[in-house]
Amino acid sequence: MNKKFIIKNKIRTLRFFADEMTQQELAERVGSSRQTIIAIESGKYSPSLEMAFLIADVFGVTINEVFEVEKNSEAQD
Amino acid sequence: MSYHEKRALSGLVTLLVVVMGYCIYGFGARPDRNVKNDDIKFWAGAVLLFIAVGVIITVISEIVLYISEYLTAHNKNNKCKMSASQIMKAIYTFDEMDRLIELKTSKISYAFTLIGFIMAVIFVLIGFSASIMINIIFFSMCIGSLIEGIVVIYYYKVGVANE
Repeated sequence: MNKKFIIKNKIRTLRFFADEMTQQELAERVGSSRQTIIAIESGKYSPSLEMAFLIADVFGVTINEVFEVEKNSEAQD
Repeated sequence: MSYHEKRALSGLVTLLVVVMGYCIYGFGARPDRNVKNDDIKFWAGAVLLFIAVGVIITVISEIVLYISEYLTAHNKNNKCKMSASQIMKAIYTFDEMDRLIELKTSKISYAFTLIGFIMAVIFVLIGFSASIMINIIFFSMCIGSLIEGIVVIYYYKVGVANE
């Protein structure tokens, strides 16, 4: 099943600019497991709104600067 | 491989050991015994025995897994800025993705158990012995748990859709 939207994120870039923050450190700060951060970063899992805000808060940016949505042209209505 | 994947894998191994043990105990020890004989006490005892065996093996494997993860975290402590206890906390955190995976996979297990139970009742209704009913329920629970474990590993590897 094709998704209508593809959610992309810039967590890797933001981690790099945050003094190469590790996935484990990010997981600790948002109160999740490292496995979840890996899944979010690689686009395998879309986080809840609450977690998305928490991630953005860790980097001190807005949610739009972490996540971006693209319309999937292959998706069927 | 993450802690949750290892846990699911150890669960699968435990399940296979229990099923193999049950088959050897129930069908192998006494070849003259078969499920057609209405030896319901024997089969009920066997199911309870192997449920207890499964619980004990699960507890032992959880302890072994916890110790091995702690030792790995302790070694990583030298390379990482975080303490071993912080790493352990990050490993064992049961967050929204884990909850979503648990929710989705537990449905599979319930479905198989329910189908097995209905099948078992139908078998009794059409004249099969109660021993067959017990075996069908036991094996349907095992198949449900097996598929649940496989799907858990699949979701952790491939990812899970939040929908």
